[in-house]
Amino acid sequence: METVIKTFGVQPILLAAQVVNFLVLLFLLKKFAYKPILKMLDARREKIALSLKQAEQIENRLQAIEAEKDQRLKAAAKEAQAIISEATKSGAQLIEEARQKASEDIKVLLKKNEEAMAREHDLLQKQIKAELSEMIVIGLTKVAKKVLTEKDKNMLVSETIRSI
Amino acid sequence: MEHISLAAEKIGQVGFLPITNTLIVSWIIVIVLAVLGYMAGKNVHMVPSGLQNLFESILEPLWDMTREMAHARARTFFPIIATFFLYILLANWFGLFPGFGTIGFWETKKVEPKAISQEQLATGQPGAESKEAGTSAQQNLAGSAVTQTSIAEAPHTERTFVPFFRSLNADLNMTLGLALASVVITHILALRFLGFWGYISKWISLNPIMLFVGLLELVSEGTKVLSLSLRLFGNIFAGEVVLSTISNLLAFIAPLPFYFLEIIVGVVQAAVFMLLTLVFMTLLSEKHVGAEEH
Repeated sequence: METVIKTFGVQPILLAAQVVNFLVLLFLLKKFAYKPILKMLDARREKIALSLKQAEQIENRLQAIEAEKDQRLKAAAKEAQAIISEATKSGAQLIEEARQKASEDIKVLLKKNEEAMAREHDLLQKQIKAELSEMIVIGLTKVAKKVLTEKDKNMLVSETIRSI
Repeated sequence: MEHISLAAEKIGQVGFLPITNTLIVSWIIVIVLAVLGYMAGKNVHMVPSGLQNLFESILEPLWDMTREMAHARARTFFPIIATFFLYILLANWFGLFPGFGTIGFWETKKVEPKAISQEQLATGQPGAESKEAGTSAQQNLAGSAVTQTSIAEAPHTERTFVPFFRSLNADLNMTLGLALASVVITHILALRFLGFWGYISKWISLNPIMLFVGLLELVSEGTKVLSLSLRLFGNIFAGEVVLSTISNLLAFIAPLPFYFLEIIVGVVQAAVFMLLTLVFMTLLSEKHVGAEEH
């Protein structure tokens, strides 16, 4: 055993020196390298997780917004359709109303016209009657050479008019 | 080129501490690694670059693996595991640099004057037949006293090559030190995580069968040190021998495949040491399955 140890050159002091070297290195690396780097790794891991979560949230929100937009668009289209149909309907109604009113007006006008014509006609008839009776009287007087009495006159005139 | 000695060569002595070439290399590696680590960890950014990137790419898989195996204890285990890996890896790769094992000096050692034959002196090469030669010299000496003194005083020198640098893990002091550190730290951590009684109950039990098993486990703790240290030492030392042998045969191009091989061996051995340490740590600090039933 002794010779084996000697051949390999194992000495307690050298053994201790190597252990000390290792421990020194362990201490230094732990303090100056592992600690900050592990901290950074953890921080990065957290940040990535957070970012992914946020990305997911953003995605969700985007989808929600998209859905809402679609819904709103649909609603707006529907509303527009309603407005258009309403307008068409009211337009038609207006036209109808106008037409009715116009026809009524026309009827009224026609009636008025008829009345006026009838009145004129009457007036004309009366005038013609009057003038005619006068002409007849004049003619008869000329024929009879006598002045007729008021009674004869009226009788003659009405008889003549009837015969005409 | 001489054969590579199993022991690390001594270069000097500071006080009571003998300075071997591996000790110098280990200091260099500790300094290099510490400086690199410091520079990597000095200014960490969310977006890594340069050294930070390099360290992260090594440390992150280690960290993931440690967490996977040790869960809550990972944070305690990780620095030890990672340091083992980085230290051994860098040491193995450093040993492949040109100059390792090849730049050094010839040391002429005076061997205590033994009776040696004249021919042996002339060639100056003590060899396999020295024993035979010794006996023949003794026979000579029996003849005349004058020759005896002259031969005894004749300085006999032995030239050995002492390289300034030697692959760190080709020194059993280093690998044994690491293995001891690994096992001792494992036990300290087990003590910390299990508490005194939890730790003791791993080895000693009232149940005779379990007591025997505990004893076996205790022995296996000793073999852990041996297997960890000798595996690493054997692999790296063998690599050194292979490289020097091939280089002796043909120094150009021919050793290249072996250098590639050694690069892989360096990683594999570092990973093996690290993994075994991690497994031992995890197992030993695990709560005893039987203990929970009591």
